[in-house]
Amino acid sequence: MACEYCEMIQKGELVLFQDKEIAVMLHPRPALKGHVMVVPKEHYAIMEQIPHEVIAKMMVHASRTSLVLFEQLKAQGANVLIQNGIAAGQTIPNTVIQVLPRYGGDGISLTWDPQEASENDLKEMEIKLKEESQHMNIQKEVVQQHPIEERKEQPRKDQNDQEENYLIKHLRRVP
Amino acid sequence: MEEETSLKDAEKEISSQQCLFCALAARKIPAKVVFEDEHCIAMLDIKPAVPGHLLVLPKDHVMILAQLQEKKIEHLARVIKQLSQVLLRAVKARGTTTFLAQGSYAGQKAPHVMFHIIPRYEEDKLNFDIPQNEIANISELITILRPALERIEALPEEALLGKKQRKEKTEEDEILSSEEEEGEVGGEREEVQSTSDEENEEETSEDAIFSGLDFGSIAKELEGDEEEKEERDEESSDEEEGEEERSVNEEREREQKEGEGDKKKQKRKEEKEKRKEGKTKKKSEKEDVEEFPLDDEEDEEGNDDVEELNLDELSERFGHGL
Repeated sequence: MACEYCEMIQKGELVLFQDKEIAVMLHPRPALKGHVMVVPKEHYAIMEQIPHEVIAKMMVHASRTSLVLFEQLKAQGANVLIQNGIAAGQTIPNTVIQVLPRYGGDGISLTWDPQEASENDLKEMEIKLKEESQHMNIQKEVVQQHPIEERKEQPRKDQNDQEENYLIKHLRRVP
Repeated sequence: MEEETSLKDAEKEISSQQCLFCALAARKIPAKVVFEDEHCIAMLDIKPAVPGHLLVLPKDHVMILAQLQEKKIEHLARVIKQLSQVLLRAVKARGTTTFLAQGSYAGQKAPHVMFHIIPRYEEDKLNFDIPQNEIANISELITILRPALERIEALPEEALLGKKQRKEKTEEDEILSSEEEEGEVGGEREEVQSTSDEENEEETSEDAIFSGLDFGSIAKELEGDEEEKEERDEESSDEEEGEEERSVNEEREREQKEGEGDKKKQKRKEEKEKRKEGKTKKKSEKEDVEEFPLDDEEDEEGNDDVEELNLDELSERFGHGL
């Protein structure tokens, strides 16, 4: 396999924990001591390629890892970070969940400037994303894994549809 | 024992009632909701880093991810993955950054777990790059982290969440489901589930297993930090409209907390003693004496003058540099 990170997992030198699907390993180029990443054992370049169950498992292990960092390295906080795509600063040719222990004055900045957004822009974005999220069948897929939700979702979905239709019509009327 | 739990429940209820994001998730405050289901909700950030910036939060009021039931964490991850896909399509993002802050040093601003999904473009002005250094202390880290992680991985989830916390959680679920569903079939099923969960918790050995891991105190410490931070924020951030509501809430919360401070002290002390008992049991079973040095320290401090020391430690650990 060409991916050096997959090779690192196979070597096992930096690996803290692994099972069939995932590995938790020390970051080979850490931002600070205790920088850990959760890696799928299969190679997936972007998050969209990872099967649901694998990303789910990775997130659980990210949560457990941050707990270990709190306890063992006396971290004062922890970030969970997924850089998905080169535009998002992904430096590893494999999708990983990074877990960063944080301390006062550690010099790491993961912040952004909040922008003002107009009510109209937000509303428009809401409609757009809602529409797309239905197109992606999020609910259907989620329902399959949690059959309990099925009954609950139905009425809400209808409501949303109506609301959306109304809003879209409303928007179309505006030249 | 019963008093203790009811007190804890009350505390939890108060803090979730006053949480802005719980109110948003329950639709008590209007939000631009993009996706919602039983366990989580995704909405637009009203002050986005870039247009399309999403917040994904669990409906449970939890400070850190580890306080959440694992099936809910898994659920969150699946939703996040798909919402990331939605952003790639809907706003033609070239990538997405998924970000979670736990603790105010990590940038957490509200006492509610919240994932940010931020659409990214090659030429945006955002910077989530993290420094890259030569790796050092490999063997030290491996010897510390590997056993700790392996031990945590071997624990059943009930033990991980802790007996008390688990109970709270399931009760909370019942309240939630009965409020929302008013006796629908789904609600009933959840109740059945949670009673079986409670049965599992009857096994006393869990306390011993769990002794080293203390979500409660981690969350409390982080929360305490949160309050401290917000006190300062309140002084300086009158200009931020959106924050006003929150700060009012927090003020109320703090007042309430001050009122209950004494009870809390006692409770914490008792908890700590219990934990210590459990721990000594465990020590005799296995030889993991030095596995959780942090907790050892806390226990020792807890047995002296309780709250004062803890507060000092808190402000020392979290108060700096805010």
